[in-house]
Amino acid sequence: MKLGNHLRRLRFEANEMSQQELADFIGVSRMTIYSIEKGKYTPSTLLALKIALVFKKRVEEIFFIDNMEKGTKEDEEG
Amino acid sequence: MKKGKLLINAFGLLSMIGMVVCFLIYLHIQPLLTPEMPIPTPEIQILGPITIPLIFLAGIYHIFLLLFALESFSNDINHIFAHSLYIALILLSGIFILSDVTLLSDIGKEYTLWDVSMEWQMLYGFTIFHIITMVIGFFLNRNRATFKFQKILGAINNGNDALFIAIHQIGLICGLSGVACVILVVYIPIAERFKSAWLMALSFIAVIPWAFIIIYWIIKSRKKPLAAWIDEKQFSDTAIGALIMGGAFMLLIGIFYILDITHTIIMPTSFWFSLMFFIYLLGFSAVIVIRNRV
Repeated sequence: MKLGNHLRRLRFEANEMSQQELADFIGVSRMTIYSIEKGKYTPSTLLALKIALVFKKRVEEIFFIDNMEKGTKEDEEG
Repeated sequence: MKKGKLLINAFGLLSMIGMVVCFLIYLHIQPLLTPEMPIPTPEIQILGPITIPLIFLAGIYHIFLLLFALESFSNDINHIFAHSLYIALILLSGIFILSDVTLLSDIGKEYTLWDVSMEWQMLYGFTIFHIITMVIGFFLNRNRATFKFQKILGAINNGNDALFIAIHQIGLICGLSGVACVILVVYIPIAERFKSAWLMALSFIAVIPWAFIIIYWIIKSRKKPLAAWIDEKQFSDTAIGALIMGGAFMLLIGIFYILDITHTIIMPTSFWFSLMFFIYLLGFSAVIVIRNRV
């Protein structure tokens, strides 16, 4: 089970916000944002909430459990 | 701005020329300084002291290069390794400048007593190293005019990538150098009684770039609360590095203990600390560098 996210899309929609800008907003390094986007690092609850606050979305609109999302899509298509 | 750039470049050129002049002076003097000539000729008495201000000039230029390097830390993660290597190069070259003065002093006192060809070889090697470092630095900074101390010493953002990754890249370089130094000293053909002193000196030199960058990071982070010095991913990477090296280290110590008691490796007791220290530094830094690759 991996944690997927829509971070890259949301950054693009938010006036093409860069990883560095997002990192500066929430007080982490750019590498942290990069790692989260690539699925290499799972953010803490606090960090996930901070990211949600920046994009004015709920946490579950940004992050999802990867195989669950695939499963949901298969159900919808089926 | 233009004037500042011109001045710095002129100073850099002067320093490089000075080092080349020093090299030529050493080449000229070496065959003349023989035990059969206990009192140096007037020529040597003039040429020898000329090298001191030239070495001093090179030392000052190294400080400029270091300040430029620290100021230009960027968040371009793809080029951080080259930058880290460059900083380690400047620091080592700067330390060796102090060694140049010591070597010249030793040669002056000891050439009548025993063979000083090894000191001469070190002097030539260090001088070439200084010239290479200054040439690289000159071309990297030829368009720089001044440096902003505020940027160099000012506070950094939370979880700054560049500095965090640079610390561990330099740690990797220093760890590798340290292990190489220990192995070198074990097998180098010098008298046993000198080996510990050599090891201490080389270990000290090998650890200085890493110690410097750690101190620099502390200075840059000084105004932040301790919890904000590294962000959560950096904390996680550090913890994983420590966990992996903790386990690997126990295994390594066991292996080295067996090799020692079975006399498979013969190494003086004092060497073990340096070897273990640099292996730990190498492994710990390598884990973090790998976890931060793009």
